[in-house]
Amino acid sequence: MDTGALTIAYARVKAILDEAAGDSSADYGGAGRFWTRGARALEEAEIFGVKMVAPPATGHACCAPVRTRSAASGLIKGLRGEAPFDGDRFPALPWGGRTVSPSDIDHIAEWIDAGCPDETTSVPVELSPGEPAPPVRVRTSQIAEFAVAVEGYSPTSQVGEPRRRMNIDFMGEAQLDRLRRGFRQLYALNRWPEDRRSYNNQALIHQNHCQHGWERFLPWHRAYLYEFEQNLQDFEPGLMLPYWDFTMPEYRPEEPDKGCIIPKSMKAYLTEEAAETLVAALDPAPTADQKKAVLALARERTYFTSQHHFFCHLVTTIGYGAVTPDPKNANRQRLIDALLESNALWYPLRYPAEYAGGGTINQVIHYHYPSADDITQILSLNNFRDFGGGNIYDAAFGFLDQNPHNTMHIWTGGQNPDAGLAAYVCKDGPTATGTTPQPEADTARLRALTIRRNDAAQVGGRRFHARSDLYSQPGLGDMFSNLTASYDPVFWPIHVNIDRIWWEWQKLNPNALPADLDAVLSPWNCTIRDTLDIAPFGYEYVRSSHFMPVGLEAPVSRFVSQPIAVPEAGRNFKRAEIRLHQVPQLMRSCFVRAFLNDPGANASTAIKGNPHYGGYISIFGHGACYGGPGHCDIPPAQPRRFDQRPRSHNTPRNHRIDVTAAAKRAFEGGGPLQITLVVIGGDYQEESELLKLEGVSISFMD
Amino acid sequence: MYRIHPGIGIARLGNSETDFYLAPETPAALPQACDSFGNPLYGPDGVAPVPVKTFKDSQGRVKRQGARFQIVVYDESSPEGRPLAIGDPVEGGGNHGVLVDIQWRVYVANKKASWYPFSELKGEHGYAPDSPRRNSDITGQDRDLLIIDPGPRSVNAITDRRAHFDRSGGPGAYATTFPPKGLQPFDIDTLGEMMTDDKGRLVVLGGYGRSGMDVSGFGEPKIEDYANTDGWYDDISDGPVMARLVMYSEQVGQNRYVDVEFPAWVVVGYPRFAPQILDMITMDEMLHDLYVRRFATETGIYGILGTFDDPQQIPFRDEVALRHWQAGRLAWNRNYRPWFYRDIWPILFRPDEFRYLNDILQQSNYPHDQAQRGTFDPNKLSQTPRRGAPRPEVETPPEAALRDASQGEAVVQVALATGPARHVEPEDPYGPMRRFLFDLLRRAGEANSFQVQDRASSRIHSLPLMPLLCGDNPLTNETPSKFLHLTEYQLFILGQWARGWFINEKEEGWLPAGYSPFEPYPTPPPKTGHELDRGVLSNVLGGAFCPGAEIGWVMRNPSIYWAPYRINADRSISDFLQSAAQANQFQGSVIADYTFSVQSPLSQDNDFEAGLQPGDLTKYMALPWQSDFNECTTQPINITYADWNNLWPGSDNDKRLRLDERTWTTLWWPAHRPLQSFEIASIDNGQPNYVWATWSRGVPQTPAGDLKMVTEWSRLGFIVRNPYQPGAKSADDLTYKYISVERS
Repeated sequence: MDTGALTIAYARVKAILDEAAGDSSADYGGAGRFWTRGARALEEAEIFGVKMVAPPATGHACCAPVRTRSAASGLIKGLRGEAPFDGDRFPALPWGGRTVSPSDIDHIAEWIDAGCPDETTSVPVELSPGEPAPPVRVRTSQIAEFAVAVEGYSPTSQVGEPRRRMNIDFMGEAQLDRLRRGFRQLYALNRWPEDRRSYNNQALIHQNHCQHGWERFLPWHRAYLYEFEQNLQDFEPGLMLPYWDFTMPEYRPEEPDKGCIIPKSMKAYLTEEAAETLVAALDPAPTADQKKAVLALARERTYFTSQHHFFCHLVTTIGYGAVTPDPKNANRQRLIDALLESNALWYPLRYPAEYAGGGTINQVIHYHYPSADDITQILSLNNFRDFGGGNIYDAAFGFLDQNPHNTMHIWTGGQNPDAGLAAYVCKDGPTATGTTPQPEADTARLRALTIRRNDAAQVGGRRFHARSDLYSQPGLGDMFSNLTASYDPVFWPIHVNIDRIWWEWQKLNPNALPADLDAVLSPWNCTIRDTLDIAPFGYEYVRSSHFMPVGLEAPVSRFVSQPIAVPEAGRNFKRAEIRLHQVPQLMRSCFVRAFLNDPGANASTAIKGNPHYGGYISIFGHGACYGGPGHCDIPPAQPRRFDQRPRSHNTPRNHRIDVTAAAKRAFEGGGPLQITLVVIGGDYQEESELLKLEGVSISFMD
Repeated sequence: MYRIHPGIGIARLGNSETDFYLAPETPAALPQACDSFGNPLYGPDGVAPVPVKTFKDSQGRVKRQGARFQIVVYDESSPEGRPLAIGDPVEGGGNHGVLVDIQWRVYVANKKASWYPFSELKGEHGYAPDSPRRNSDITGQDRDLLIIDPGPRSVNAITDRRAHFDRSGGPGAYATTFPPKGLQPFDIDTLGEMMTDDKGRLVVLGGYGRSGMDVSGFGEPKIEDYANTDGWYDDISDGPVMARLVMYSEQVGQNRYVDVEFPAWVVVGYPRFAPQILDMITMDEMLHDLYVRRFATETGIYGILGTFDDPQQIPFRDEVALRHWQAGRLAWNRNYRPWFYRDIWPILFRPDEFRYLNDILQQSNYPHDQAQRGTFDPNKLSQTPRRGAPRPEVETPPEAALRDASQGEAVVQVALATGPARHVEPEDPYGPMRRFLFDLLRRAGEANSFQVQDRASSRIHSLPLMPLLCGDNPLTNETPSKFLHLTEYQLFILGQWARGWFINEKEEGWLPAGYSPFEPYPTPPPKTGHELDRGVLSNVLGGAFCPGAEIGWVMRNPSIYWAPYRINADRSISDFLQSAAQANQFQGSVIADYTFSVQSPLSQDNDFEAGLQPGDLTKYMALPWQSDFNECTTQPINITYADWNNLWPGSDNDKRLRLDERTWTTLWWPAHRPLQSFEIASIDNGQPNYVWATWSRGVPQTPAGDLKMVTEWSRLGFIVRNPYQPGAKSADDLTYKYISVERS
């Protein structure tokens, strides 16, 4: 539309309606042919109490979105067949005659939005609302900008504050390193076979007690994840297990073998330190070029999905051929040592996306990789039996257990392409034998394996996580069987994700429960009922979270964060929330308004129509202390021993502001995110001596 | 999302072992003819269903009515749903593929003999502890034997297309429970059967109408009561209907399975002997009213004051939101305008139809006459107040309570009539006629009022309130409810109409060409699952419930629903043996249902929280059904005192009371239990001569007659629109509108 273009006049509107009505004798509740009596009459017309033209919007014209008046008008709704003209209260307009074309309806809408001009007057439409007044700039030099906490720093361990299980793909390197340290500590405990916390003993719990194919599947694993997480926290306080959202686009669920396959952080790679040691140890020594190439792998942090890919790269690309798949091959052992040393989340007995004869999971196993759409369908189930599994008399698989869960075990476990071979057979490699892949060759046998997974696992004789075990060349990955699955660290992020999907579903179906709520989940002494709520387990799910410590020492008048680098992949969220952590009771009431990417925002910054405005909370003031000394002190995080008095009235609280819409707008322009919180008192002026808080975080949720 | 529709399907008994037809799916329609596999017959256009031609088979036995169920898919492209057909793409549970088969599972039972005796309204809000049961001499686990439990059966669309609810236990060899052999006069060996038609739809048939007593000896069998006689069994039943879709997944080269959202329910009733005449309140209308008022289904019509223009959306399953809504200031939208021909006339049309079903109206002055001089002439009742000259509009404030038009407006009319001024406003000549009809209607709270006696100024003084039909309890002094009243929704729209606040579609040009007010019900087959739900139930009795016809007052208990028109099924009983995910895991779904999931026998009690079990809807009805069916013709209702059904002047030797005592012989529900009808006596020169005769002649209204009805019901005639007076003629031309045929 061009500036100044004249909108259509009343005559045109009348002509359109006349033609559509034809010779219909509809009475329009006594109004008759209400459009024929001039522009003013049409503007005032009503049929059965419905105004044909809505009154003009009130308020500032510049703020009202265009087309609101026509959209609210009965005439336009009626011509479009929208409620109340959808056939229930009234049929679509016109009554009798024929339908008005969409473009003609648009013309009439235009006429209404132009103020219903008749033939003699025309109203120019203001098409480019004036630039908004330039915002008042305040000097921000005196306002400190708060930085995001060192990665991996967990906000706080205060009572009442859940910790966040995050998406493994949005974790920073520092957070991942912390996770790897935690796993190493549990591996190290394997030296004390009687220590229940050791990795092997934890994995044995799964081997001996795990519940699948019925209703205890989800509750049991919730308890299992919790114990493992607590063990990690013995060594890395506040460390939380991450989840792997395996349906994200980078995994390309429609053709998953072409996607990421498993999270990058769990793939094989060499650190520079490990690579140095490795090249010195290899015998025969690699050539100078080969050494350089290996060191480059480390420097460039080249990732390999499985050991097969790594060894083939070594043999065919780098050209170091003194290695065979034989478990006793010394060079191979050195190489595996180096990979294990580099990444505690990598596991040698894991052959993701590798199936017999080079086939796909669909061809060989007849399972398909789960997509986001699949999960949506599963979330739409309405009873626990179908979602999570049947009860003891009806031991039936739930959909969550059967497809995404079983499939992810099979997907990450895979079938070892090197098993029993004397030499590495690599695609397009010099030692390739030239055999054609036969996807269907092993189907029958493998199907039998899938069905009776337990028979497939050769548990006897293995010393889990012993070097001899990690060098071995079994036919199937450890994730393939539930007896061995949790020896592979990839087990945890998969199951955390399953637990997260259950939690999402629980929120949708709060009354859909397993049948036997009193059943004890061995080997713990908790019951199914105890697992229904995640709050007592002390965690929540967020995609990613950024915490900015402030400290309770001094009040802040205005909080401005430094720009927060939110990874590109993490910007596709459903909900964004700013949280004010551990706010003690305030003397006076106030509002806190949140702005995104508007660091200069202050009490007079407009909130209506301001795309940077995220939302507000109001905090009710506690008033002056009427008690004696210490009455309004902030209580300690943990009460004194034997202090059984009720919760202190001054216990700090967390406050949340939903900033979803503003955050989505902020990301539209790309770039980092900056949070401004403005504290505003009852007089609508900024309050500089009031708000205290432990820190501010922004979390993005699925 | 896949759903079975109708949510509640209606099968009907018949003693023909071979022939059946399909339940009508629009109001007052004839059943649909089908072949012996349940495939409907279509007219030349291939779309319009062919109505059934005869209600009895070649041996004069009553054909059964099949309840047909189909699957409707709801997705973004069809939010109102569209039928699902074999070959369509389907998805669910994380799989997608092409529909290759549908498995259906039905579990019906009859719990009548183990339930409480029907005792009017006792039990509607729970039974007192220690309330006696039917057959109370049978105790302990023996009571399980009183439930007729054939176990569940499954069929599919390809290999196993038929199954019987018989003593065999089916392919899963379920240990069934049936009454002992040797019942008098009839043994019960089956509750019916199920089959799939060529399109994979399910057809469920009920029993043969065989009732029998497990007592022998002199004077046995006998019936002692209209609703309860110990020792009897009948083959009525009801229960959940579940479906599982089988898809072939190209992606993984195998079949995958997914269940529909929730089970549907099948109810078996007795034959509908006057299928083209609707009851004064249908089950659909009763439920619609319940859902509107309790479950916020039409918040633009009934909702919180001030929200009508922007109606609230309250999810049915959100209990907290619903409770919050119910706690609000709920009211009817006084600005809502019902449509005369869509909403109002189909109610007003009905009472005159009853004149073809009983002497009381046939021999009267035709109080509901729709002819030109009648009180119910649609051409007069449809006229809106003229709006030529703008009147000073007195806007009804939305906060105003729903005013009782019978008082205010009638008084105004009387005042006008007695004064010197005109008594009819020229712009609304038929306003007094509308208000008179509305004023005569019995409101909620007037269930025990026969007439308005104490307001001599009222135009309806001394006239009986309408409808003049029996209520839920005209029998005892405990919670009496003598007369029927229309639903709140019906009264609301009729009130709007009475005050002129309605739309005449004729004036607005909305009626299709050829519309006749004498065929007022919609005839196009239902397009959506919701329309199918409603259409099927429009042919089921919606009151009064004493105990009713097909199903009774349990239907108005909000606690038994999972969603509108969907019974909350106990899914441990209703669902397939294996979960669909289990079928995926083991690459096959067990069609022979071994039901080891049933860990305990069908319950003797209710558990609405867990859901309903097979037999839980029909157990409230009379046993055997023939006894109540036979006696529900007329009831002499004692109208001496509003709150008393039974007076005993003899106890005080009270002569005054004896003289004061008055009764009114009141009809029950003639459309479900006709009393008299026209029959063709002879045909001269191709023109029939008619005789007005008692429909169930030879069967008296006594317990002995009830016993006769056990064997005689299948000989009764079916009352249909007279083929010699076809078409939508004006009311003046329809002397013999309905006639009874096929008496055998």
